[in-house]
Amino acid sequence: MEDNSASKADAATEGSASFPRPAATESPAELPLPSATQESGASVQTIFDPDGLSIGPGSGFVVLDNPAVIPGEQATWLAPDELVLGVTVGDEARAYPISQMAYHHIANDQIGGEPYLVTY
Amino acid sequence: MIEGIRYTFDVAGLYNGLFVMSDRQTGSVWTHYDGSILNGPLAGAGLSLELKPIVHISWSEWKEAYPETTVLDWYPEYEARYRNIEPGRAGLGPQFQATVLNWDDRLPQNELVLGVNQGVEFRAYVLAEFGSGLQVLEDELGGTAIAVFLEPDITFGLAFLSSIDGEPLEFVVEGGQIVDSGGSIWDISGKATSGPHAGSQLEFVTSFVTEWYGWAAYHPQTSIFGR
Repeated sequence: MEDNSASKADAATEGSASFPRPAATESPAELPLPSATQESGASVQTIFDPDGLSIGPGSGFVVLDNPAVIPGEQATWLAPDELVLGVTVGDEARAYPISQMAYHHIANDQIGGEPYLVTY
Repeated sequence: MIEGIRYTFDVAGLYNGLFVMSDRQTGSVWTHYDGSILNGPLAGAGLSLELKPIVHISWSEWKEAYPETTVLDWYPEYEARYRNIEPGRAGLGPQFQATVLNWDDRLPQNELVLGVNQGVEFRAYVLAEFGSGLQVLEDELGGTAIAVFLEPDITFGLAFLSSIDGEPLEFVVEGGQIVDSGGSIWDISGKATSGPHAGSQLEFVTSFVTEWYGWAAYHPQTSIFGR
């Protein structure tokens, strides 16, 4: 699982956050995302075969926990056309350059005081 | 965080062409694609992470939209592992290929698509099939009216419900900005920045820019817009 191939594990986001979802009352109207929930009961979950889970040699990815962030204007190394993952929470905006996230894959972060998982 | 418990994640390995995650609290295996649980103690409980829109975009466009943005700091100790990524570039590492459970040859493996998951229906929008510049596409998915924001040149795409508080909205792009028929201006994250709806946030419909093979592997039932 070297990084050139890691780039193919694409995007997505995840957030999480205070989501006091009562397991019993899943009212789709209140859920921004019906998605994964419904799906987990059907296709994806039932097809999971633990033997299909593999970790390639040379992985050793280091995920980020509460990563350091800086004001955008200080990130002078970023080229204008460099791709980033951008997230907004309330009035707060944060960018994660893909060149870095394709290695770390996961940032266990906090944005606007709430826990977020950012993945690539 | 789900039901008051914060989960933190590590890379668990590869599964069905994509990397999957494990949480440190229970060791369950999760997709990184949509935050659902594949295996482990939490499987079957109907839990999943709530997703937020994440914008896949060039740094200059992001900074222009959000001048006050913060950015992940540079970690020199991992510099050797950082590299420029070209999403959509043909080719898939053999270790990834070996794990793919479902190949779908309707599109080239690495074709960039906006994958939209409305909950009961899945659709891929092929970025290269849309013109240049910011555009809004009205569509219907799973019986729900959605607005698809796209700007293929900068690999940006996201989908939202095209209504707010039950009021249907119609969007057009004017002067590079997304405007609804009532005159509100919306940013690329689906938040109204001015006009009658200022401050409102469109409800996100799970969507992200991804390569076709992964989208199709996890969602074999997906349709492709325009086909």
